[in-house]
Amino acid sequence: MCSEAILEFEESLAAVSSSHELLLNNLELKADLNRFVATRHLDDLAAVVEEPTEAGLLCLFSNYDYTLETVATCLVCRSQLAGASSPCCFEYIEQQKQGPGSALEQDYWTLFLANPYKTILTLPNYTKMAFNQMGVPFQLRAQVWRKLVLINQKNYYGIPAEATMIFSNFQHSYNQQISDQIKKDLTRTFPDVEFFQRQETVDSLLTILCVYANYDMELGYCQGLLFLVGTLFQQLGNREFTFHTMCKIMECEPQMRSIFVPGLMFETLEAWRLQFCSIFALVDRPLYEHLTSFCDMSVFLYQWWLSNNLIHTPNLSINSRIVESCLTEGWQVGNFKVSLGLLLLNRPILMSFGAGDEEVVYQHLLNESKWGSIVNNTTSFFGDLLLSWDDKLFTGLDRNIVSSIDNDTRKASLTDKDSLFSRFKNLSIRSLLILDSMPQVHKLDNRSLSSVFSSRDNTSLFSEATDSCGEECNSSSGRKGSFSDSSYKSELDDVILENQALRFLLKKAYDALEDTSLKREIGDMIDVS
Amino acid sequence: MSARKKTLLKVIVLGDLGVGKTSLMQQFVNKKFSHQYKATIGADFLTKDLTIDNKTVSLQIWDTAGQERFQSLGVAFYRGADCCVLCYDVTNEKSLNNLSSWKDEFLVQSNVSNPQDFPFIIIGNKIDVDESKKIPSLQKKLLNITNNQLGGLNYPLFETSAKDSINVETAFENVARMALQQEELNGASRNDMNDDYHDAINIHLENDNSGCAC
Repeated sequence: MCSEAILEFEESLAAVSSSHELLLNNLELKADLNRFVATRHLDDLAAVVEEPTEAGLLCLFSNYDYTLETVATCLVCRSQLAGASSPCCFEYIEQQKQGPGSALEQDYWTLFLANPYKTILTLPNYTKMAFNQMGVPFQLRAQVWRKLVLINQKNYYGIPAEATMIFSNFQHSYNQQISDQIKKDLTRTFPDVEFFQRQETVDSLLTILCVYANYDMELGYCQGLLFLVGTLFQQLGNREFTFHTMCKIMECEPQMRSIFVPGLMFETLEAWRLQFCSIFALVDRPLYEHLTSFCDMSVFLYQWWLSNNLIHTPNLSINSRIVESCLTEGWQVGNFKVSLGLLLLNRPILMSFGAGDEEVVYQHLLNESKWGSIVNNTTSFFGDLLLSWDDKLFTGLDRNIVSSIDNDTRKASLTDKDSLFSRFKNLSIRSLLILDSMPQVHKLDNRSLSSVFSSRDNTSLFSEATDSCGEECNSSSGRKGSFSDSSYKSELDDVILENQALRFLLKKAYDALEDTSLKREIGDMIDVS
Repeated sequence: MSARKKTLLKVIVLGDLGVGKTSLMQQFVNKKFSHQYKATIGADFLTKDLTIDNKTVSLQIWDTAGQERFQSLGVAFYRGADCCVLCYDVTNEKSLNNLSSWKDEFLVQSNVSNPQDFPFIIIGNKIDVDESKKIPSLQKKLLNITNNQLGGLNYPLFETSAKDSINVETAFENVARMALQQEELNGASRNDMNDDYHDAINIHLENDNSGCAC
């Protein structure tokens, strides 16, 4: 399916580039979560090319409505393309209409849109480069994001029926207090961006956030989310799908969800801070020691992470780049990389201050000034700097976090029946939804539990086992052979251990439950005696 | 004395989401009002120098996120506070009723040395809005809250408008004065251990072992 040229290029990249573990891990994690997603064929999103060809791709560039583009800016004068008036902007638009910069890029995006899963798997090095160095062409952004969220081996990309169902089912009886809070925040999402002042945008964001608060009662609404939902909605342009994206993000990375949950927020942020500091110290020890000698990192790190670094950026194209980094390598990793990048970018400034200057340093890091002149050179930041670290530094983050959170949950479950209960209520909603679409009850239930509690390796292994005894295997993936027997076995042991832990938790939940029918259901699953 | 560093006073502004904490701070420090402030996430701060009783102080005002769940992050931000401003919105009764929980949470998280007499101040913001939108019988409710001797909020109260710049200056001058007192009190107790910090100002606090630093 690939042209010779791009394969050759991939090979040459593989020879020089570092690992792509994070990218592939994240790919598998998402493909696995999306495995059982049913699809709805009738699609209300405009401009979705089902079988994109090169000609189709070029059409996307030439037919794109540049007069509505409020995120991308002219390369020369940096003003937004919508309402462009100067010659440099028109020239830039003309150039954009011709399609992606090079034939290779054109090849890559055609392949990506046709089958993103296979493309990332076959061309991991080029993928990293395309996303981080060149950046996703803004004309393709909505589609590329959508595919990254829905990515799966079967290459289905309609909005899943379950998403539509949840969205409409939870779209009522909003919690008054929560919707009041959201309303107060809506107009101050990105107050200087016209898109976010439009009544239609405000209404959409209100609906998405209210539905999410209804759906995920434990999290509800958290102020930082607005920047994420706002950025997503501006690109995706569809309420249902933005909501679905939120659900997927939180489901994929429970540790990312925890930073917004009352009661888990502080512990999770602290755990993130410790992990982050250990990475920071490995990457640049002198800067780390200098900064921590007179500053409390949590003052700015909390703000950065609770807003996914999206709150004080120079413009929304930067926001898109941040989201793309997170959509390809994971949200915690993305947050860490951007944060680390920002600290290193500001190294000279930070080193020039010392004890007594905390104020200046905090002011700088809490506000837009920390981004410096990145706007003029996004490639050096997202491409060179963020790609310069070995993936190994960032792998295994979620495993540690999950186990520490899990301990907390256990502690909480002894004292707080309510929170335990709501946790399980959420689980049952999810597993019921999956039940609807698939008959393999027992396995699926295990799977949906593991997606909440376990780390990614186990989950993907688990589903691999499910898959191999299931119907049509997508044998082309090529990753199956890469598991050696011994690693397979040790991972299997992990899964067994984890299942035991989950049974233990379920049993505990069973004892605390009051809902008799749910209790009976759980009782049937685990041998309660 | 001239070479001495200005006294730094740390003030924490608390209160429900949307009562106007950021606007109050911006009005006081930058003399401007805008509808364009982003929601505060975590915390942010601004600093302003002012003269209180012939002494120049630097007031560092910490603006915090108003959503209740962010209270758990207070440990990181409240440390070393000299005064705490509790804000409510005169059109929002819930924000008034929540004042005492903001106060309690502050005391829990900040770990101040004198929780009994730590300086708090109450600001009711948005008095520029139409009378009809204000909390009905506000004065009575306020009296109930402030005069209740059992755990009540018996603190100085200011009604302000960050939008029209009414009373903001006065309120923060009082904040600065109270913070300064608290700082001197803390300074005095610190002096017992740290001799470098002696200062003419706290001589009147009977601190027997305070020798002259010069």
